[in-house]
Amino acid sequence: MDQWDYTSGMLLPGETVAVVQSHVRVYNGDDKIQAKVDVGRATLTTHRLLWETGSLKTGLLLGKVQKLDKESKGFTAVFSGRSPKIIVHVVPSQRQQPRTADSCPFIKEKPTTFFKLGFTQGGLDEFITKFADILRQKTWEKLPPAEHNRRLGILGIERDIDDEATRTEQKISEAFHDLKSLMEMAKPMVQLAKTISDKAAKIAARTSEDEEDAETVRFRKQLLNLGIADPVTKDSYSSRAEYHLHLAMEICDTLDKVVLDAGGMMTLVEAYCRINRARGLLVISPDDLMSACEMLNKAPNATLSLREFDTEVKVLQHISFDEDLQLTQVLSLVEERGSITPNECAITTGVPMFVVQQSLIRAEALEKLCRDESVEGLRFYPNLFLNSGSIEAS
Amino acid sequence: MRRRVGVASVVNGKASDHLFTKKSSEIDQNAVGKLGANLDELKEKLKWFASKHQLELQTDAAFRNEFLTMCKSIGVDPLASSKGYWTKYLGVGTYYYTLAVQIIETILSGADRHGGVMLLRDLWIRLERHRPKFLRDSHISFDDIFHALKMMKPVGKGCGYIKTSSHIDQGLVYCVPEEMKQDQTLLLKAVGESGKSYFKIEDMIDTLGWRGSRVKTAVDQLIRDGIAWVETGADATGRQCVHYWLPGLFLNNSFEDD
Repeated sequence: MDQWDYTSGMLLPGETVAVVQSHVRVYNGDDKIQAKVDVGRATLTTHRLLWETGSLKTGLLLGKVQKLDKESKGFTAVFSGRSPKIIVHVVPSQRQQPRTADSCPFIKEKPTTFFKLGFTQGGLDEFITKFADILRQKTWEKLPPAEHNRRLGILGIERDIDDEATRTEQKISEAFHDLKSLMEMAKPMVQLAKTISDKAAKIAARTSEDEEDAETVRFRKQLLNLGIADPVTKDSYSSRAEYHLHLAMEICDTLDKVVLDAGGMMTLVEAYCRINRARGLLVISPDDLMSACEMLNKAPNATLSLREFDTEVKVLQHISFDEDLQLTQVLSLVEERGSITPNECAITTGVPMFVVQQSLIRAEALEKLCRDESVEGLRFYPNLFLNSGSIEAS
Repeated sequence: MRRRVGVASVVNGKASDHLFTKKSSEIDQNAVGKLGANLDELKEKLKWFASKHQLELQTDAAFRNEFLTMCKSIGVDPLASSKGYWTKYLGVGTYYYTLAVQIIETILSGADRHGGVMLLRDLWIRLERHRPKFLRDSHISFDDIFHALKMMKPVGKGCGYIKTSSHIDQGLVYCVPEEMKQDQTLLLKAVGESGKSYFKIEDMIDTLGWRGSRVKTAVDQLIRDGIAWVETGADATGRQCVHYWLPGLFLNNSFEDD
């Protein structure tokens, strides 16, 4: 009877109870078992045959059952007692895995190929019918262990959560471990690249470079691939990858009309959104955009150019943007209205606030307008101090 | 004849002697070639890593953050170029480039109301609502938002986050054309920490300990940029007083109209 295990009393994932019968006596082969108490409750489930008495809880996996017999009333019945019995034939346990007292409740019993269940208070017929059904259907094989909707009760759910958490934890710690190993591989490479880069930078700084050799171009590409800032690249256009030039041309094509509609000027931040929306899945980085915009003046037939204001705001400016024209428009509007705020100006001319603000500020710098900042906002007036003869210095 | 300088000269010693210091001979002759071979190895490792963990990068914010932190510690910026290995094989960049677009569009869409300044909490709620179906179960973290904003710096200095002493989600994110001046950020921070979406000049003088004129200058700038609105009225005693409101901090921001 060493095929039996100790059990916890809890059901396995997906396991359901088929029939329960109390006052069932267990026999090892034809003999009574050595335990003092040999009568208990037998439970048949889709996966196991369980038997409990007092504090002893045991179970037998149904996969180990070969066949069932009903004990015929006859000569042996006389010796075994009056109760009807089921004979359960089991597969012999493998010799390679000797059982220990810890794992096997019936370790003291002599090895047999069958055991009996004696039904001292009836219930055999129902039991054996269900037992036969289950053995025929092999129900323990059908249900996968992780079938969530067959969980029974809170214990089952809790086990689910624990399993999931353990699996996730394992996955995550594995992921972090892999990440560390990846970084450890990359680190010396980065160091090497930086060393070469620094040396090359020192040399380049001392000379005026006209042209770069193929190796340098390739090296710069490697820096780009690794995501290391190239100290030499910053000012020299020649080291920009061809990729950025193509990107510059693409930006012109895609954003030409959009920038025009926006009044001839668009902030790079907005341009970043627009170009990425247009590109769909192949989005570019802000650095890519910057590098590409810096190459706009090298792109053939470029209709856009990069412009940076004193305020460090970067914009894409359309080739047709005529600053002086803008200025004139704005000035005439101020004359007409007497004074104007950037907001009013934007609404009237249909040009974005940002562009209009630049024009107004430029006009102020050219001494054509004066500002009045108050609690009501910013308002621009014609500069009467310089442009009108009626104010006398006194 | 043009003198060709560059990496080749470093390793092959083609440049004239006076350009070389003793140090440069320390470079291994095959340094660049070695780097090239190493990079091929790295490419393979990245592909392997991607096959195992690419989904985690897309769905697990903590893992993503750890990834970026580790990159920084070894001296690389994986978000710098969309052509770099990190994006090409792991798709890290794509996640943040797209997130940045969403952040900017979300902030700018409300700019006529709040001038480009809003609560981090509000931004996060809006971003979460527009997640694509397949990413519904995973969330954007605040760290993600901070990384994306920082990434935008080369293109626009007017993107950032103002930390307040309150909970992290009560900080302010902003996307404005010009770089925010320090006084403005300090003022916004103070208002954020007050827990109210309005303030009076007198309150700010007390809180910040500045002169009135300094507070006024900062406030005027905020008004000009459309971040603060002015309300002149009378208080309980009938005296004229001016309140300044920051719509970006309104507590009951409606999410119906997105």
